[in-house]
Amino acid sequence: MYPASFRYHRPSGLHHALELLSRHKADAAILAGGQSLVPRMNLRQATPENIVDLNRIADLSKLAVVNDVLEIGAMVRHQSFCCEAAIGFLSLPSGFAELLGRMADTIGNLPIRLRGTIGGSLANASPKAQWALLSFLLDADIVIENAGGTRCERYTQFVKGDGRTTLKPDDLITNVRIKVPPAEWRYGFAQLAPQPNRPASAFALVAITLEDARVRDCRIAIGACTPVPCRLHALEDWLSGRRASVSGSDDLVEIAAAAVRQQGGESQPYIEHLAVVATTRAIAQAVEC
Amino acid sequence: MEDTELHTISFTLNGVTQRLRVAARRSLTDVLGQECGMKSAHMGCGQGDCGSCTVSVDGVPIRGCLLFAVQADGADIRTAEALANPDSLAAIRNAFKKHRAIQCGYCTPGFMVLADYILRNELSLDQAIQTLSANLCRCTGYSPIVSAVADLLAARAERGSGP
Ligand SMILES: Cc1cc2nc3c(=O)[nH]c(=O)nc-3n(C[C@H](O)[C@H](O)[C@H](O)COP(=O)(O)OP(=O)(O)OC[C@H]3O[C@@H](n4cnc5c(N)ncnc54)[C@H](O)[C@@H]3O)c2cc1C
Ligand code: FES
Ligand code: FES
Repeated sequence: MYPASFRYHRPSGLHHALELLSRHKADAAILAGGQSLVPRMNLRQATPENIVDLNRIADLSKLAVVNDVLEIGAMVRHQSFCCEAAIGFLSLPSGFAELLGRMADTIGNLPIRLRGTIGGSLANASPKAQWALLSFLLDADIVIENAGGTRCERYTQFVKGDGRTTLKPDDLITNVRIKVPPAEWRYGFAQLAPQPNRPASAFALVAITLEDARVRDCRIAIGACTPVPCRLHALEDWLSGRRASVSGSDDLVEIAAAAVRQQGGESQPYIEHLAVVATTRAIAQAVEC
Repeated sequence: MEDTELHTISFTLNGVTQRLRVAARRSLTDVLGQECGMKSAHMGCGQGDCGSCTVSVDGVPIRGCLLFAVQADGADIRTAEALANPDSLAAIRNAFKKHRAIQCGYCTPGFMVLADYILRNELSLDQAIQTLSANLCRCTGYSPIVSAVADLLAARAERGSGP
C-alpha cells in the first residue's frame, strides 16, 4: 500500500505553485484534498514524480459574491457548503444555499467531505460528482491559470468525457464561478445509490420557476448514469408552460424515460430506470418545496 | 525512484510534540503506527472507503490513509489512545464495552475518533448515525456501536454540558 516515491512540494503562494507546475509539466500532479488522487497513488494507478500540494495556499480557499457571481476558490472543501458559519456571510438566496448544503451532504462521508475540494472534484471530472452535475445545470465557469496566463472555460465545454478535461499538465484551477440564481428559483435534487453514502448510480438536479401554478422555466440535468452529466432539453421543453400538477403523472414519467434514453449513456435498463426515478423525484421536490 | 529525500516535520500527537524525518510517500497512518508507536493506527483499504485509519487532525476526523505525513506538519493529531481528554476517552471506552460495540476491534479506533467528534460537537442522534456511517465494521452489525454512542449522547444530555 505504498505509493511510488515522489518529490513533495508545498508552495505557499499561487505564483510558486504555477512555477513548479510549469517546471515539471507532465511529471507533476496537483494535490488538493487527495480524496481521489491518493487512492489512485496507493494503487499505483497514478505515479507522479512530483506532487504540488495546494493545501497551504490560503488564497485558494476564498468564497465571495462579486457582481452577483458566486466565486468559489478551488480549495474550498465540500463540507464548507454544509456549514452555515462558512457560507452564511454570502447571503445567498436561501433555496440555493440549502441546495448547495444538501448536495454537499451526499458526497462520500464526513472525513471525505472535510478534505475533498470543489476544484479537485471538477478537475477529476467523475460522472458521479455532485459538483459536476451542479456545474452543468447552472453553467458554471472555471478559472484556470498557468504560468502563461489566465483563462475562463464553461464547465460543460471543459469536460470531454469520464475523467477527461481540457486541463494541460501545467494548468491549475483557481476558481469556480456560478451566477447566483434568482431567489424565486426552486430546486429538486434526488440521488439513487446502492447505499446512502456510496457514489450515486444516478442523480438528477432540477431548477424551476412557477407562475400561476404553471412551470414557467425549468432546467433539468442528470448524471452518474452517463459518462458526463447532461441536460434533458427535450424534457425541459415539454415541462415548460405545463401545470405544476403534471409532476407525478404517467405522462411525465414517459417523457422523462424518452429523454433519458436519448442520452444513451448507460445501456443497462435498470440504471435508466433509476435515472427516470431520480428525475421525476427531483421535479416533484422542486414543485412542492 | 528511491526515497532519497526525507522531510523534517513536527506535529502534536495526543498533546506531545513529535519531531520526525519521513519520506513524502508515507501516509500519516503508517507513520503514526511505525514511527510513533500508536497501536490504534490501522490501515485497512487505503482507499478512503473503510475508515479504520480515521484519526483526528486539527479537531476533525480525517482518513489517515489519504493524508501524507508530511502534510500533517504543524497539525494537532489525536488518536484513539487519547482522544480529546482522559474523561471522554474513559467514557467512550466504557460505553463501547458495555454495548459490546467491539468484536475483532479492527474498526474500533476509527469509530472512537468519530464518537469523540460527535460528542465534542454535540451532534443530534440522527447526525451521529449519519457520521458513524462513514466507517465500516465487519463484525458488530453496527447497532451496538450506534447504541454506545446514543448512550454517550444521552448521558451528556443528562449532565448538561460535559467534559
Ligand atoms: C470513499 C469515497 C467516497 C466518495 N464519494 C464521492 C461522491 O459521492 N461524490 C463525489 O463527487 N465525490 C466523491 N468522492 C471523491 C471526493 O469528492 C474527492 O474529494 C474529489 O473527487 C476530488 O477532490 P480532491 O480535492 O480530493 O482532489 P484530489 O484527489 O487532490 O485531486 C483529484 C484530481 O484533480 C487534480 N486537481 C485537484 N485540484 C486541482 C486544481 N485546483 N487544479 C487542477 N487540477 C486539480 C489532481 O491533480 C487530481 O488529478 C469520494 C471519495 C472517496 C474516497
Ligand atoms: S484504510 Fe483509510 S479508509 Fe480504509
Ligand atoms: S469489530 Fe471487527 S471490524 Fe468492527
